[in-house]
Amino acid sequence: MSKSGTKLVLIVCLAFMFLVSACSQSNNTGSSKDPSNVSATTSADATASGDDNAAPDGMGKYDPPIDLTTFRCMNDAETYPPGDSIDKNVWYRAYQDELGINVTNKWTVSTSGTQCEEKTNLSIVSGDLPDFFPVDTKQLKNLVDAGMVQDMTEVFDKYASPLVKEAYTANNGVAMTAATFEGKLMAIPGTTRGLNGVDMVWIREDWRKKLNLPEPKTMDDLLNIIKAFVSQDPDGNGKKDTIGLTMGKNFYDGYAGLAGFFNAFHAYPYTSASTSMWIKDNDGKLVYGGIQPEMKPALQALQNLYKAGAIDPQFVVYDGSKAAEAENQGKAGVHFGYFWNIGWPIDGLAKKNDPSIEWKPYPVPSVDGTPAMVQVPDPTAYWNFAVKKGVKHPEAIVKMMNLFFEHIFSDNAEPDKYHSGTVDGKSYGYFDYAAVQGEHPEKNQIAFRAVNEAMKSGDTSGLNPEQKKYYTALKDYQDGDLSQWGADRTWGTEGSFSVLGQYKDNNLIKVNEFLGAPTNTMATKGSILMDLEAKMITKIILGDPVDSFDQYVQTWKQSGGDQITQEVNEWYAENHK
Amino acid sequence: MNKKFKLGDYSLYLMLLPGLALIVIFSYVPMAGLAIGFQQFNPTKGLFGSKYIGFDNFKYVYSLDDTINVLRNTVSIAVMKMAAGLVVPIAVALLLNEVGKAFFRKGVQTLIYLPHFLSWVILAGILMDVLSPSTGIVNQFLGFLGFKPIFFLGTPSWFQPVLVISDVWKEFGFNTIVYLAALTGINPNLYEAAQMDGAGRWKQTWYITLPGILPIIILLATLSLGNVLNAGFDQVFNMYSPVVYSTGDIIDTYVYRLGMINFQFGVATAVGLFKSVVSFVLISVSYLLAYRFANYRIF
Repeated sequence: MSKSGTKLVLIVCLAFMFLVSACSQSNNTGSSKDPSNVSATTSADATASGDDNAAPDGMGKYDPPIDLTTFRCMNDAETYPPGDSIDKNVWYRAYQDELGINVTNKWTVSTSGTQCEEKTNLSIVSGDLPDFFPVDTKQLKNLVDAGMVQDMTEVFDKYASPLVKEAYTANNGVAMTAATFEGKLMAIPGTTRGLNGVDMVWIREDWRKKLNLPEPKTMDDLLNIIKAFVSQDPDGNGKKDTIGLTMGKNFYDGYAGLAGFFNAFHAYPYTSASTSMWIKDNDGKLVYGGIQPEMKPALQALQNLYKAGAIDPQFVVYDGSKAAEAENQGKAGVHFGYFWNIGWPIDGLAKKNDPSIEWKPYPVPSVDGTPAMVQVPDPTAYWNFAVKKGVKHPEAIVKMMNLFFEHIFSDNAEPDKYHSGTVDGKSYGYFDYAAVQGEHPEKNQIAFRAVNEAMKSGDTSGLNPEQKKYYTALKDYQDGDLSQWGADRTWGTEGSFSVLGQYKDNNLIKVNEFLGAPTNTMATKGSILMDLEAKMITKIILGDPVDSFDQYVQTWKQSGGDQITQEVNEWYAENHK
Repeated sequence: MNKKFKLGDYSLYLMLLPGLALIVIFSYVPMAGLAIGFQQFNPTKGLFGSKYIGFDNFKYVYSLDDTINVLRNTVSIAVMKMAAGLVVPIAVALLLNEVGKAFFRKGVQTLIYLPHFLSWVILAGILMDVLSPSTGIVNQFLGFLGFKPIFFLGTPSWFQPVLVISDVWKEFGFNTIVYLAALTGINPNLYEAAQMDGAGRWKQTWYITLPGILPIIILLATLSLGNVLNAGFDQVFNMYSPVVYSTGDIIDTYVYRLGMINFQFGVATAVGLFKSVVSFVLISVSYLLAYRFANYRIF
């Protein structure tokens, strides 16, 4: 009783919370004295009349100054120069002095755990919203459904600076697409995930060289390497105690997942509870990548690896950190993962402790003559800046975004003042204080190219402070400082960004065609489909006949998959007129 | 004098008030939220704005293919846990009671109570290592005896026994202490009299000790009956994987994947309500049974 009791109490407590908030919400909207209602009409007038026909100024100062409220979610480790705080800092002063905007934080919570999400949800359900605030896509969809946020389409068009527009149109404007509902931009996208969340193959290069194996140019090469790492005793201790391919139970994780493996076979599965990887079929319709026939050879190859003893059977119960143990003990040498795998789970200091160790990232090879494309299921923004419906100056948020780009990314940027700097021997990341932030999604790629250019020419004048930091680290590594090995594997010519660069240069990145918020059937049936797929993949690897995949496809379609496909295609038609 | 006494009475009632208020506020008022189970609940629309859909949430859960299997797993895991969780502590308590040395008894008592304080998150990680088919100590021991390694956490037929045994190991210390306490309440004269009549240890246990702690056994058994749909979310969630869904997936984990990940509060509330109703019925029945057959009243 006690457990079911507590759970019930929890659920009903939560329910009660909503009940209370629902009451206060209806009170709010019902009262005509509510200032936000009054301003709703005025703001509509203001945008309609086009600000006295004057050319809109993306950096114009308000006189008299205006007040805006927001809330913040900050990292626990964030530090501030003496006298400053999240409420009073270089950015908030800049808003005041340059734009005439007084920004006030209603509250600030930690980003650790789910605190931020919960507090934001609470604000949303209670209707106690500040003038603008950061939300994720799911929250934004709820807000849009409830009609609580301002349409930003026109304002963004009019006020966004060329620099901001350029950043948002990069990567086919995916950031904008996700914040767009029925053709209307309902929030200003913040920093995006971009196209960096793709798989590459990380290989113990010293093992490969020791066993005289060729570089993985084709999938066959790679499969041979994986098998050899088990059978040929790469660590040379005379025992058969190594694992070929490191895997975890979550097949689409950024470490020890399988997305890259499937991509090598031109199969594009990805499913989370709320969305999936959608690709175009020959007729231009969107279809789910995980039910296409290309999956079968990949599953067969995985099963063969398992039969050959190249996969630890315990992958079925291991999560990423558990799977990483073998690698960190020097018992495994191949995994699929993201660019940041150097850092975690591979320790950037590993080479310093044991100079013989070498890891190298390779692009995902292809099973045939066609180069393999790697998939990006979600390139959208981490968060979007939503503006409360009825706010008098919605364009102020766009101006603040302009200011951020102006001070950090433009030619007149003052990164020392606005990005990061050192005061009395302590370093601070000022950029994080800004209430509205964004970046060019290819920022790291640009940095990689700039740094390598500088390494060749020795001319560092074109580097910004951030890039200069990477440059120094690379130079140190060249001069024999093994503690900078991590930097070399990231920014160096053999580093992970060089692999990402190859993908991008050769157009080998396949972006999800569906970028909207989860559809209704996704929300209700998505997790069932996710279960089905996880069971199917796991069982086939462990020995079920590969033809059981066909059975799975049928079940997937009948269990809501067909309906989701239809909804996704409707979304696509709606957004690609 | 009389007046004063009444005043004191009132103040006692007054002191009860804060506690009552807490119960009403936190236990009864929120029950209104059960309405969510009958709604297509949308947090931004709230309890009054969401659409009323009758029993659709219940029908939906019932219509899913896996529901029957999940229900069967839940009941089978929970019943095994309840049975083992009842028998093992009694046996251990009886055995410990026979141990003469207080030092040894206290030591064992403390040791077996310790795992109770570990969380399943930690224990799941430890069990994964201990039960590992390649490096785990259990399989090394089995290998020493000539058995082939068994992948306990990845074999459907082994998963439920592993759940039950690890749960009993973690929790039996607590109930053992309860029974030990009950054992000290038995009048020693009874044992002396039995000895005079020539009863051995076994007879003493059967005719004196067990009847002596019967009320406590019934109490704990009755209370645990309400758990028949609780197979232990924490434990299963941290130890299961898609390979053992067929035997390891329980209502709570299923609903978690089904509902909570996607904020389907309506479905989750419906299942929570269903579980509470079943628990309520079972507790009422066992209460009546206990009263009728053991003449024992809990409440």
